[in-house]
Amino acid sequence: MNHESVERRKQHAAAAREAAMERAGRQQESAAIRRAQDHAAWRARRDASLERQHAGVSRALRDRDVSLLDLIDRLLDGGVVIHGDITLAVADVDLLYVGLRAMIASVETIERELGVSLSARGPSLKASAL
Amino acid sequence: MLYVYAITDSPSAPRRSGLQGASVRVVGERGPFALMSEHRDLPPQPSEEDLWTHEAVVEDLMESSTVLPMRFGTRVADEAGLLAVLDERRDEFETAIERVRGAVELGVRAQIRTVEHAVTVAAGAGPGSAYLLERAARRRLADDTAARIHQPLARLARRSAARTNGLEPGVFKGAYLVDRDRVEAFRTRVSELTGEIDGASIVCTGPWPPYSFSSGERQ
Repeated sequence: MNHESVERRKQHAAAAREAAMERAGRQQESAAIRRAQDHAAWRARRDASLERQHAGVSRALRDRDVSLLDLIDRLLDGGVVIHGDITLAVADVDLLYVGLRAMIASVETIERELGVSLSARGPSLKASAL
Repeated sequence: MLYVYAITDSPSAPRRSGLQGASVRVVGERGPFALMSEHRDLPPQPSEEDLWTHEAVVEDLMESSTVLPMRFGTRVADEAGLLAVLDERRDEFETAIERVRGAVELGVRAQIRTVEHAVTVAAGAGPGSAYLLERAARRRLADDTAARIHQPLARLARRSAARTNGLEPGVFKGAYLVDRDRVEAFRTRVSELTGEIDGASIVCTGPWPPYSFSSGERQ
């Protein structure tokens, strides 16, 4: 075996190892940079998303509460009535409204803010009944 | 006992479950059909969740067919009883289904503030008459404003129902049956009105199933 060629091969191998290490180092570095960038982008996205969520939550709550007033109005006062078969007879209506009272109390703030009213005609919701 | 959600022109059932997670079924031989779920007993006090469930079932069905929502709390003893109702009132239900086909209900609430407006009362009136005259003037102002909100919106609707509250002047509520393709135009008009009319806050909700236009007697 040629001693010289063994030596040269060793040198080649060493150079290749060095190059590989350097490449790996560069890759690690750029991966770290990418990670940092990703992280920054992720945080920005998360912050934006949280902000949207907060805005969404308060808007959704308000929409839902106003909708709830309309829902009560419609479900209890509108719709098709099958005479004689409706279980929520007049005597039960008070009971129903007692059950709804707590929920409505929480809506009162919204009512003031948005200037909507719970009051309906007939034996429906009236401030005095609450 | 059967809990009834809606009368409909389609025999397809909604995908979602009904009150207390019960499955929702359609009954009827040739239409109109009734949408119901079966229960051994329902709690006497409905919760907010029950209201929303009733609404969600009807809304789900509304996407694919024409519905007449039932008033909340409608129960019948058994299927035979429900079929009898469908049969007896077929004409009425069919007419109502045609009336609301292709349309949704939009709700409008307005609070009209009249205290910020100066109201002039005839000179020489005593304190008692002055008070009453001023009240009457404010009432008229509220009614006029309500009309300014209602009339342009009613023109965009197939049908409308407006009401002011006798006990509480300044509160206006309107329900409008609006063609599906005019919903956006309607909403736009509502926001325009908010800018045009001083001292009124106006809120538009919906689209709702046609609760205010489902019953013949209310027209």
